[in-house]
Parts: sequence; structure tokens; C-alpha cells
Amino acid sequence: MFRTNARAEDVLSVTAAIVLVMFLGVKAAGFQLTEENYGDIAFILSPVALLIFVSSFRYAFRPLGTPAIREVTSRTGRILRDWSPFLFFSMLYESFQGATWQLFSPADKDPLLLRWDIRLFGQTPSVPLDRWIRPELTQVLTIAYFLHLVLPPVIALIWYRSDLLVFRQFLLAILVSAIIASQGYVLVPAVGPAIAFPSLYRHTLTGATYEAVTSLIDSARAPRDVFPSLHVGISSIVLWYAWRHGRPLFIITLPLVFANWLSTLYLRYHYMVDVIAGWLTAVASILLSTWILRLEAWLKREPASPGSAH
Amino acid sequence: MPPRMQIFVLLLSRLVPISLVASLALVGSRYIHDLLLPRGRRQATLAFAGVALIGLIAIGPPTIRAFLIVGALEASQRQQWQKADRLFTEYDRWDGRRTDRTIRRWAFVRMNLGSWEGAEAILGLDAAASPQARVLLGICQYYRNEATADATLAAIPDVTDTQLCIRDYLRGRIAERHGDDRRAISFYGHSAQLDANFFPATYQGIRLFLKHGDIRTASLILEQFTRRYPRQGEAPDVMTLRAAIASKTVPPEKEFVIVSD
Repeated sequence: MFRTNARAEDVLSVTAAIVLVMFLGVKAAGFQLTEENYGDIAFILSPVALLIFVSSFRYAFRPLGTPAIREVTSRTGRILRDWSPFLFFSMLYESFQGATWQLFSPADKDPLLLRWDIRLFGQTPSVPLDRWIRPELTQVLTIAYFLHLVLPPVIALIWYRSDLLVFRQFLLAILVSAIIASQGYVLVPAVGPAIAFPSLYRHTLTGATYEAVTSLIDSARAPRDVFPSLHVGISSIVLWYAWRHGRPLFIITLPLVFANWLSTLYLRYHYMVDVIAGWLTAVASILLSTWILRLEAWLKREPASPGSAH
Repeated sequence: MPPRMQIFVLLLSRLVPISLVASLALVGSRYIHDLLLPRGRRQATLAFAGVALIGLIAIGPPTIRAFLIVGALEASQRQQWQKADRLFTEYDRWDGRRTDRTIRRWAFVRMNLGSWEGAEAILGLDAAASPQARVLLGICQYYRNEATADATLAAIPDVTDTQLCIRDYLRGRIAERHGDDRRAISFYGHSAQLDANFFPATYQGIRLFLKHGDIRTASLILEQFTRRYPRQGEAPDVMTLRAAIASKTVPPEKEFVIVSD
């Protein structure tokens, strides 16, 4: 029987990468690597480059007779492999800088999403929230929105130190959520209510923190990343894995995640249907990642030797 | 992107490939060292130093270029135009890549130095200039009173990430210079449609309406502008227009100096 050491996330990453490369191959004619794109790629690769440099430095100046190159590369490779779903997640997200959605849906679907919100909730929530716009609240929710970039690596690191299997499940769930979300971005491309319907709002979002953080996030964000909300999806996954770790971590994480969800609406990045789709994406990703790892364990199980007791 | 973040990302984008080459040199030097160690310690140490030196030579020029371009961007953000121009020139002398963004940043520095000719020379370095770079070229040609300015601007297509409001504004100014006020008003209107916050188009449009006695339209445009941007309601140019509308006179001809990257 064919046996391999490949992990589920390796297979998933490679498969998705092949699909992406084929997809980008079609788009390649119109894609140009600008300084901004290159900057984004360098930003994503910088932790990898740092890890490689530190390992190389330690290898080069290690005392005589200590581990040979194979041991050093295998240690570095293991860390890279463990964290690679994050890397692939970032690459998949940034691939949208190449306007990949235009192959399927050239027109933005913001009017459709707004219509769904109005039909289901009477209005898109960011409109009634417009009455509550206060500079102090804007700053707090901007920081909550930014936590999207902070919480996942923190939770991942906590699990990496305590339970590698749950860590893998967590990163796999993040990866699966990115794959699901990318389908949404391609099929339902939208820019969000703030850009699509600025006339719906009477108050302007302002403040030094707001301007600094949003301009930073906006410069790196995919041009169409609304349906489903990955902010909501990933923070829900974070919440679930914080819950699994124990009550103290969950209690710390809960208000931060809740504020993160609220910020997506308050800052006018999302429609309510995106938020709901984000929750559903999180549930699907957690279930799928658990199931995939079970399948992997089943495929890698030791075959029962003939005559062994059952 | 916030200015400091721009510098950080630019530095990072240069340091990532440099660090990979440095890593390769480190691993290579130690690997060769270990290979030669059985033959003698001195030989192994020399080999280590030799490979490390090759690595150092390899990363030298890109490291210098990285610090030059980052320094140029930082100087430009601090509005130290002379210093920024000097650093961009050095970067170019070290065979730095002439990307569209770099060329536009350098041209922007020269525009701020008032050197339209210098900026035009920089923009001419890129044979396949982007539409935004062509807008900048049009700006330089316009302020140098070159006859080619209108043709340059007219050839810029309607594409995103391009300051089309400047294109149409300058074409309006050129039409006005040729005495075609009707065409100029049309360009100013289009410019304001593309970016309602681009005040020069609003100013010139209102001035032309007043020149032709259409006080109602001039007043309506100004009212819309100040309602949309209340903070600008007290700006000196807005006050000038308001006074001109009230007194039914024509505000003074004004040449706004536009620079962009």
C-alpha cells in the first residue's frame, strides 16, 4: 500500500496552489508585478526569510562537531512546514491583487448584498450604526478591527507550544476558511458599503488611529474581500480554539472577538449577510479541518498484522 | 499606506532577497569549511572567509541600493527635496531598478524643486510609462508651455489608479489658453466629476461661469462644494469666489501649481 508522510494541509496547500497557478496563468496576461505587489509578497515572506537567516547564522557559527547541515535544515524545515498554512493563506488572499475575480464576475455585487440586507433586516446595519459614530468609539473599534492580524498568530503560538495536533487543526481551519472565502470573493465580488454606497451615511469616520490603521490595512487588502467576511470567519475560529484551550483564554478573547465582529459593520466594511456568511464559513472550516485530520489519521494508521487480536 | 509604513515595506522588500543571499553565503561558507576541515584548520578557515567574502560582495550593491532608495523616500516624505533628488540620482547611478513607482517618486521630487524640465527628463527614462506617469509628464509639459501637453494628456485612457481629474483640469486650462471657454468649462466639469474634492477645477469652472455672467450656476456649484466639504468653507480661495458671486464680478485668474506622484 502507498504510504506517505504528507500532511493534509500540505496536500490541500499544494492542490490549491496548483489551481491558483492555473487560474493566474489565465489571468497572467493582464497581471503586472508592481512595487506594491512585490512589497506585499516581501512582507508575507519576511518571517520565512528571518527564520532562514537565523538558522543559517546559527549553522555557520556553531561549535565544531555539533549538528550537521541536514539536522539544521530539517529543524528549520519542520517549523516552516508547521506554519506554512498561514503562509499559503496570505498568498491566497494576496492573489486577489491580480483581480482574479474578473474572470468570473466582472461586475461588483454590492447592490445585491445591500438588497439581501434590506430584505432580511430592513437595512444594512452600518446605516443605523451611523447614528452612533463617535470619535472615541471609532478608535476603539479600529483597534478591534486590527486585532484580526494579531489574534490568529497568538492563538496559534499558544497551541503550538501545548498541542501540535490542535495547532494543526487550527491552521488547517484557517486555510480551509481562506479557500472557502476565495470562492465567495470570486463569485460575489464586492467592495463593501462604505465605498459602494457612501451616500447612505451622514457622519464621517475620523481620527488619527482610524486613519493610520485603515490606510495600512486598506493598502494590503484584497480589492474584493467582502463576501464572506474573513474578519468574522477567522475571529470565530480563533474564539472556538480559545474555548478549547480553557476558560481564561476564552474570557480574554471573547470581548476582543465580539468587538472585531462589531467593527466590521461599524467601520462600514461589511453587510450583515457577509457577517453571517463569515460565521458559516467558520463552522464549515472547523468541521472540515477536524474531518480532514481524522481522515488523515485513518489513512496513516498502521495496518493490522495478520493474526493480531481484534 | 501611512508614510512610515511605506518606508518599512520598501525596506523589507529590499532586505528579504538580501537576507536570503546572505543566508546562502553563510551556509555555503560553513559547508565548505567543514568539507576542508580534515585537510587542516587554516585552509578551512580561509575557505570560510573566502565564501563569506563572495557573499558580502554579492549583497553589497543591493544593500547600498536599498539604503539609497529608502533614504530618498524618507527625505521626500520630510520634504527635503534636494537631499531626496541627490539620493535618487545616486540610486540610479548604482543601477537601481527604474520602476514606474520609483520614476514617479523621483519626478515628484523634481516637481517640488520647481524643475519641470528635470522631472520631464526623469519621466522620459521609462519607455513604457504608466497612464499616471503620463499624467505627470502632461503636468511638466503644461507648466513648461510645451505645445505637446494637450496631446500627451489627451492620449491618457480612462483607467483606475490614475489622476484623471488632473488630466481634464489641465486640458481645460489649455482650452482656456486657446480662448475656447465652452470646451474649458466642459473639461473642468468632468474633472470635478472625477474628484469633487479637486478644488482647482471648481475654482476655474466658477470663474468662467462668472466671466460669462452665469451667476446662478456659479453660485450653485460653490454651494454644492461647500456643503460637501464644509471644512473648506472658510478657505481663502472659497472666500474669494463667494465675494465675487456676491459682487457679481469675475474672480482673479489664478494658476494653481499642481504636483503629484
